[in-house]
Amino acid sequence: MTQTSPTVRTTAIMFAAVFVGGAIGSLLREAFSAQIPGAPILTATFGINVVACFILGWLYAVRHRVHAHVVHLGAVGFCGGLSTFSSFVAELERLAISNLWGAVSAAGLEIAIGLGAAMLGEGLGRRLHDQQVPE
Amino acid sequence: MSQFYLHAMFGLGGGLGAVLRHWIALRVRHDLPFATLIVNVLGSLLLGLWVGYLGGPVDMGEEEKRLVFGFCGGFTTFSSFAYQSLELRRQRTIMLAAGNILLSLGLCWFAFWLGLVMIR
Repeated sequence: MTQTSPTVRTTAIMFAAVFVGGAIGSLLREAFSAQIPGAPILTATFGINVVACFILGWLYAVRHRVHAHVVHLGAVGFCGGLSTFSSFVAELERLAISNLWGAVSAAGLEIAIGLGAAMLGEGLGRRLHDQQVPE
Repeated sequence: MSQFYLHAMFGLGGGLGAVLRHWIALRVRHDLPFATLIVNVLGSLLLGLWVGYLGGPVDMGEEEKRLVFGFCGGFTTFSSFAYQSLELRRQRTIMLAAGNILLSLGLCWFAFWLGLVMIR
């Protein structure tokens, strides 16, 4: 039997959690992207990014109360895999070919809504958790 | 080619992308969110190259396409970008938060475009 140090084990579990979360998040995004046909703005990618921002905000609100691996699985892996910046700019570039200012406005709008969703998720997560565990 | 296999390739790409993103985040320790900026710019460049490459006359299996598309999505992140921008505004200044947003959007968009035109 080989002896593995706790640090090596923790690191291995951490990366495994990130891998599993990233794979599940990516698959969910793939499934939802296929469901909704491509619109010029407010696309499936945009909707999925907003949902990921909300979940990430929520997870960060409670991150000190859950195990670190939950953060690795949920925040780093799942939310990171679910949300995407590369498809976001790819869709903006596609839109910019026909309407540059429309694309710039869409970018601003989508980022603003994403920030709002993260704030909302964080606020709700904090509030609900504080109700459950009075301090 | 079974659908299950293709989804598995996408998921594998996404998982590997997430692992590489986290590895870079652990390496690039800075009080400004440079790690997220780096992965988003690199991921956007890769997607641009890939989309541009696939737009040409190539004979590429569907599984390779899915693997790289999955990787780009798992590697880049919008949610961490948004959360870190909020943190910058709260803990530092609104100018840094605005700078992070403009720099991320500008550099990633440019990187994607650059990838497209480089390969064409």
